Amino acid sequence: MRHILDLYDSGVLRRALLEAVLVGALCGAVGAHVVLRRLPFFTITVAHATFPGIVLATIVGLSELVGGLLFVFGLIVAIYVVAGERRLDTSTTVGVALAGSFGLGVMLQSTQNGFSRDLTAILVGSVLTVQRHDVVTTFIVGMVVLCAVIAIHKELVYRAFDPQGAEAQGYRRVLDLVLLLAVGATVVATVPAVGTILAVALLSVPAMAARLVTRRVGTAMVVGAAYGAASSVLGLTASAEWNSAAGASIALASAALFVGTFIIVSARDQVSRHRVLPSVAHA
Amino acid sequence: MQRAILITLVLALLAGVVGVLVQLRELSFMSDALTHTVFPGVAIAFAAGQSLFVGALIAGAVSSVLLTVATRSKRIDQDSFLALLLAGLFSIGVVVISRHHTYSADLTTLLFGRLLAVDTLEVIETAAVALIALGVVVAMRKELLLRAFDEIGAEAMGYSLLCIDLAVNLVVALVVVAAARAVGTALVVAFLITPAATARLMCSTLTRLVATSVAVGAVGAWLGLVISYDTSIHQGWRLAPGATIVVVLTAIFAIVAMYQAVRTRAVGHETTSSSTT
Amino acid sequence: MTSALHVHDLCVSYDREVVLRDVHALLQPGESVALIGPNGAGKSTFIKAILGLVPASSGYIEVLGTTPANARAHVAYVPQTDHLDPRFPVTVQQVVLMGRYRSIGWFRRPAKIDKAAAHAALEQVGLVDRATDTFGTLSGGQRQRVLIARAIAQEARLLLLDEPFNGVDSVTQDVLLDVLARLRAEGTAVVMATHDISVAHLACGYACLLNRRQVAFGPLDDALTADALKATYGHHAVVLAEGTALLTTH
Repeated sequence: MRHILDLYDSGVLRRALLEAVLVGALCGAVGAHVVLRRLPFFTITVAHATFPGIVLATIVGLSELVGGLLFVFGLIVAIYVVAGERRLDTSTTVGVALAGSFGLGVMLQSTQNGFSRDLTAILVGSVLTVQRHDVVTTFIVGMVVLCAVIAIHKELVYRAFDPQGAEAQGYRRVLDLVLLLAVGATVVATVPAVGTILAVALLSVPAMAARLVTRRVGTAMVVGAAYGAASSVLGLTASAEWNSAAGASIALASAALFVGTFIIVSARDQVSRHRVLPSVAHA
Repeated sequence: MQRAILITLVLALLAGVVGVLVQLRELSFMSDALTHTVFPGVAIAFAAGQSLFVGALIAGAVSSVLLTVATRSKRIDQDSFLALLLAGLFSIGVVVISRHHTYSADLTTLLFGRLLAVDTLEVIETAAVALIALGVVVAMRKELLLRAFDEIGAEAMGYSLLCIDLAVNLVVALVVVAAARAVGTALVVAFLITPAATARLMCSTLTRLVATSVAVGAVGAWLGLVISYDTSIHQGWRLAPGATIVVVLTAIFAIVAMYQAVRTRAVGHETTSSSTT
Repeated sequence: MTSALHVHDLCVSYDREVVLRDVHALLQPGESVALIGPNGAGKSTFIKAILGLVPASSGYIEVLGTTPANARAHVAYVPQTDHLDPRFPVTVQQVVLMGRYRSIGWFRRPAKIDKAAAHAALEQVGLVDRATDTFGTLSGGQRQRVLIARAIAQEARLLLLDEPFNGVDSVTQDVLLDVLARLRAEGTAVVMATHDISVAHLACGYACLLNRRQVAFGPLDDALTADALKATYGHHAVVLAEGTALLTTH
């Protein structure tokens, strides 16, 4: 234990830990809705879209966060509008957005120098180089996102489980847009830390683990946040100890937690089924 | 340049046809997942100094089987599991490449291809794969149509959904393999999804869908190449040709989508129900 | 003459839980049986067992004198239409032709004889004039008729139908009754899952009452007794007079 505490002697690592925990918790919580409304593909698309957002920001001269948010929000609105037209299925619309935005990013970036270097940083993230203001920004974005999601929590859950019923009760489709924007903001806040690939993992895996443990969405958000934070702590500690890539280690930690939970839950199910079965056969 | 044009036209034809299948079966996510899972095969082949083509083929075959089986299982949530596999396998590819000292440049080549530097052998390899993939689609077109339209009916008639789905995923994987050298694994998804999506906005009979999809793909490919070539000569911008094609294809989609939206609003609800012919 | 369907002491389980048991049935060519029971009673399970899509955990089931898997080429299934996407780019003609795919075989194209069979089937259901229209432009009842035509084109000897009269218009209802009568006259056996007892009276000679186990099987009037209906539907059946009952549908 003392050894691990020693690891965190450096300010760099402490900041990284704080950022990683914030990101992990936020993704774990928002992830509950990502899994519930089947949004992993959408999440992947948004993650890819941060790339052109950042490139455009660099070209125009905005901060990466602002550029990322602006482009991603614009794209999400475009997806929302086209999907609303109902001529194509949602996954096709999201697919076009994914391919198009990423192609745009690559095309724009190819006119700049330092092409390859920037791309890899975006792909794998760099949690160890976060500055204090990055942590603050993540915290603020996280608070705004969570407030938005919690404010419309009841409506979202209703809509998820009973679309017709919700619509009959006057559910406004624009609440879907709020959720999508919340996911988008989460991704933009997460990508600098763990990169695009792992942002997607962090938004799905802790939530999947939470789902094994509870069926209620509210509880899943809290449990997911816990899993996410735990993945960050475990992953970052492991990466400091064994000198492995930080982002990837966090993602692997979340996968390990998921697998562990799955095994425990399955074993528990098998045990209870053996006890119940004899009475069912005689029904 | 001629080889670049040739290879992109072959890809436009292949992806145009397979893209309609992807559209009808709503496999956009699966296709994207396959591009991410073929990548480690390409990466490992590159690091080992072997043929990228063979690496892509092996990864394509393995991941098709893996993804097909995973998505047929009813126990775990499909989309999340797919995302997990995608992220995991892609990360492996990145890690393998990162051990190489020319990391960044290699990554770029593998992800985005080197369209202007394709040699004759690569054109032939691409054409051969395209022929096989198209052959499979044409041979199985009845069964693919039935399965896409009526899953329950297909099963009742005794067709194995697992076999048909595996064949479809293998065909998509073959498209990714065919495109790997020219436009890279990251951009091929645009060829598969966007022209077919554009066609779907415009027509609703199967033959017209396929024809339009191929036509849009070919026009977009040619236009993209011309623009990227032209601007590099006259403006001095080095626009990556593969990416430019993708942007052009997306722009065509956007224009058609906006036109449809305006037309629907202008004429009212009657348009939507009568536009099914 | 081999029976169309011969079931003895059939038992089906999912995930180690018994979902259907004690099923006995015997159906000769040209005869028809109505599968009657509430939701979850096992009607679809029974149909799947006849198609060979779920295995029997005990007992035996013989279709057209052989195993379900072997008989499949001569068995046609008519599902409901709600799982079909109305925007799918397929014509009515193409849907009906699908019934011929198995006999055409892999890799081969439909021949003249297949197209003729499809045309004849469409004539029987009165939809030849809509042959080149997109499937989704038809009404619910018309779509059901197209699926029936698909089954006719298959030239099957056993026809399985899943709630074919559910929510269809009267024209479709008449067409369906006609088609069923004609098919039975030609020697095709019919198994029809239904909620609607009056329809069962019109279209079927036999009834099979299910409630996760078989409650009764026999000629319609013999099987549809007040007691049997009570046992099938539980408190959801109100007996009005001998042989007739009011069922609350779910």
